[in-house]
Amino acid sequence: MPNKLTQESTKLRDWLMPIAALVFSLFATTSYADKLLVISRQLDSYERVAHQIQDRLKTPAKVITLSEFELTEFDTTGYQTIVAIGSKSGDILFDRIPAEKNLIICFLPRQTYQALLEKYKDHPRKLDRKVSAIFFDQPYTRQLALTRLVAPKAKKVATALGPHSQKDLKILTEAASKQSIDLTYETLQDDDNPIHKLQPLIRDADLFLSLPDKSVFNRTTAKWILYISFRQRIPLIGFSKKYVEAGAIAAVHSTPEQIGQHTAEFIIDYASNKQLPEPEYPKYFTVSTNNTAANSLRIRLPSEEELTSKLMEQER
Amino acid sequence: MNLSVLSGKSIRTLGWFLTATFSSATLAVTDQASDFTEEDLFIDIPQVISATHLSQKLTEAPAAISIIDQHMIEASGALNIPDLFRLVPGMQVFHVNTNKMGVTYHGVTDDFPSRMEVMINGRSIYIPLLSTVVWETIGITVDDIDYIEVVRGSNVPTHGSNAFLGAINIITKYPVAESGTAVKATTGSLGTKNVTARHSDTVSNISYTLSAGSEKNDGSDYYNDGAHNKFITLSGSLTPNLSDTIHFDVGATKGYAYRGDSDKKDIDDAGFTPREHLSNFQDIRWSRVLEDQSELQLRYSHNYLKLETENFTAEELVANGDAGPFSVAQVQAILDANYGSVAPKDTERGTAQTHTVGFLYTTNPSEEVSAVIGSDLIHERVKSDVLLQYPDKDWIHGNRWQLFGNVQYKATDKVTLNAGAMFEESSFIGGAASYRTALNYALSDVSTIRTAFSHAHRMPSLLETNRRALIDYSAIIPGTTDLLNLPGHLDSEEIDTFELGFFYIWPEHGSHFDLRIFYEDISNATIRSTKIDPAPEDTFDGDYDIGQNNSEWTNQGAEFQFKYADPSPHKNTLIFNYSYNQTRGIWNRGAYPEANPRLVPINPISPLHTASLLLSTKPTDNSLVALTHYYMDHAEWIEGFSNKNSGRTNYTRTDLKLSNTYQLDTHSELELSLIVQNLFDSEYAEFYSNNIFGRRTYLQLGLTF
Repeated sequence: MPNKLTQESTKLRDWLMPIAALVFSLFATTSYADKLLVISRQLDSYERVAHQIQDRLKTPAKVITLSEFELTEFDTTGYQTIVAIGSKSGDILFDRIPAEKNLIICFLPRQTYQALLEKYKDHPRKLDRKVSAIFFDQPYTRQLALTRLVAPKAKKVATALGPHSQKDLKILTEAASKQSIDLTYETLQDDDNPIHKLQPLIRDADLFLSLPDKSVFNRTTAKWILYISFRQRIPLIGFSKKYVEAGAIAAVHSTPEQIGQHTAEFIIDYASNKQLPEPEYPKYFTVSTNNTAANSLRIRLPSEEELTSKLMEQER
Repeated sequence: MNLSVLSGKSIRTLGWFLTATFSSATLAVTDQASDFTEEDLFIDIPQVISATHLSQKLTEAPAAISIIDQHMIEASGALNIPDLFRLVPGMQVFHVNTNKMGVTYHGVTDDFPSRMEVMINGRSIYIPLLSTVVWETIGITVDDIDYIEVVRGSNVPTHGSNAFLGAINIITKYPVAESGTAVKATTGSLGTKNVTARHSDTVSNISYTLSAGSEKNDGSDYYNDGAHNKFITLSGSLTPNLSDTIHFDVGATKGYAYRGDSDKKDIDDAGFTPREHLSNFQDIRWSRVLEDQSELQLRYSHNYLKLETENFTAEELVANGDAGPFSVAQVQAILDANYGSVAPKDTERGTAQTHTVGFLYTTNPSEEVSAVIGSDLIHERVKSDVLLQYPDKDWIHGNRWQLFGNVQYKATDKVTLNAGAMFEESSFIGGAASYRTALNYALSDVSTIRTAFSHAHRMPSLLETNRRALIDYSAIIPGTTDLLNLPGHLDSEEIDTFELGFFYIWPEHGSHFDLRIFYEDISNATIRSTKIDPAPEDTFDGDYDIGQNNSEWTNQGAEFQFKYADPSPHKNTLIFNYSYNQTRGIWNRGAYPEANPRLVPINPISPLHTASLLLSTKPTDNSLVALTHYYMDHAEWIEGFSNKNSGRTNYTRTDLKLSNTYQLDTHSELELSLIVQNLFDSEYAEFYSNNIFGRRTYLQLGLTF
């Protein structure tokens, strides 16, 4: 005859088992995630990219931070697609995950991706085209096209090149000549006097285009570019919404959500391919404008939506 | 309250908080393929800096901040800087004499408003000798200003004691943003003859602006309390490389302004006398943009101000009846026997010098966190044979040391948290810690609510901790001394502030609605003219002033600014400021000899309603029409309005500015302006009952080339 305790434990088991099954089934959803998203840091913008990817994918995706990945020596077995969000994550994952798995790196500048390919030039992942990217920065053609839309009469466009953007001089000048833009530029080194270099450059231009570069370069030059262009009454095109808020009249940029959407579509279309296609510039983008700055230069700007759709039309 | 216990605890908390923040900011060094990442594109842009020293959006700052921009400066027609603050909700501005201005926030002041910090490009211009700002000696005019940030409410956690009720930071035009020459001449009422000139250029590595001028007027027709001020200022920026910038401002002023008591109708009784001034200042800031999203700034600044007034002679004292029964010879004997002077025609006399060295380190370790830590060492010295009568020493020295920090954390897209603290130590009363916490919640992309609490201390100024004046009559009556002023044993004043803010913007045309609902609890406050019972040191009449922390009051109410600006730049602008402030409390005047009540309700010392309205339009690209209307409710300022029953003490004033610009050639233009203050000639008295402000008309001619 079973004792009371055994009877109780049987009863308990009768209750617990269905609950355990239910709990297991709930957690099973996550454990069956076949896509792994690794964010470089626990920052809002990386998380926004990741959430957008999760929302748009048809199958579940697990999100972890790079530090979690490194600390736990995360086992990627069972994940069909691995997405690195941000440069640092892309750099670490390139060599840490099995070479036969596809790696999609998103939300990084094009130059950084190129540097990665150079760093891992003999890596089987590169040779087998098991890696691709969605860039965060905009193509020069798009930025120059925006200058055309904002100031159609501007013939001379000036820009300042920093340690990174100066490596793109060839691409930049080609993009300018394709659009019949007379591009003038100055290369700024650390020991250059920014006012000396920027003042004549901006004075002789019809429009100034700021290009993204290393943060310290952006931060040290932005204030002078803003001051001098304001003083010379030369319209300034920036590269981010924050630049526009600071006084640039317009900028074309992509939000984390737009990069996330693009990445999700890229995953759906190509993630299961044996070889990944070429990296892509952001497919989705937004034009931000500063009407107060434009008005002070007596420039009438089309609406942000109008500028965005015109740029999109031109690229079709 | 035991300050040392509080200070120790708070400073440890601050230290822990900042250490934690900076530690988390440290990035692991890796052999990354490129040091250029997506995070390089997240550069921040400057917004307001005065709330915390951090560059913040108005909607994320932990305090209510009003910006006085170029357009407001231009449209207001203001001829002096204090008049601009009439366009800030909750602020009151008054003429004490024609050329002596007072600026206060939420009332409760005498003719030396002492509870607001005022800075030019971050350099304090607060004068420890008088516990206030002497506006005519600051070396800049409205034409030198780019914009002004006004922190409404206590900002001690960022700027220290002087910012007890608020802080003003005047940002001058940046030399790099200007070129060419501008000359302006103003003439009109009160015999005004002002000429100012500015020239900006870039030579070699230096961008500079040289500004100079002369401003002269004869004062009111009744009192002839005129002034003449000459000034020169050189500002510059050196940019030896991309990362380093050195800014400097140096300048000097010289002149005079009449001082007197226009509460007295009789011109002789009013006793107007010229008070001469001589000032100079030097300010140098070196800032370096560092690789790791941070910036370091080092600063040294120096202010010097010398104020001179004449003494009454023995003959004058006897002739005007101030010498009582004494003869000229006896009065002369008293004057000779006393240290320095005991018979100044005005007490604004003496010399003040302030040296400040400090550093500021700002960092953005991540998108969500930005932090600042800084420290200032301030050495002040003052001397005055009128206000600080110490036979055994020439100068009174004082040191203040400040350590401060603020962390801003964007918890989510909608929630921004700020925590800031200041530990301040004074060589006279020891240390105290002040702090502020704020939570800003974005209701939408265009609207934010803010809740903030702060607890702050105000260290008494060098004048307050050392004020001493006496008359030694022993030359004619042995053993008789009349004490006039003693500093007392002062502690810090305290303020607790609760506020609720709401900010709504219409980004498409730069319009906004900025509301602040406040409760400010001020305790342990010292107010001038406090007298106590007889003391043994005083063998004459047992009646003297002494500083005591014995007054307290609360301010509660609401204020707002609504600004509408046309999408077209400044074509039509409307700015409406309104403040309702209910002040309740007690001013303990001690044993006042006239047997008035010892405890006096403080509410009349603050106007219940203050409002201003600015309407401007540009009928053409070259013309401007602007109307400004000011209203201030009845206020009985301390030391002012003794005959308060004699008439209306609230006032309305309407100003008009018409201006037109003529393009002479591509590089030069001429601007002609007509400014009419008090357009409807509705005469009113400011501060003193006979300080009448009637219609004043000015013509202004400006040439830029």
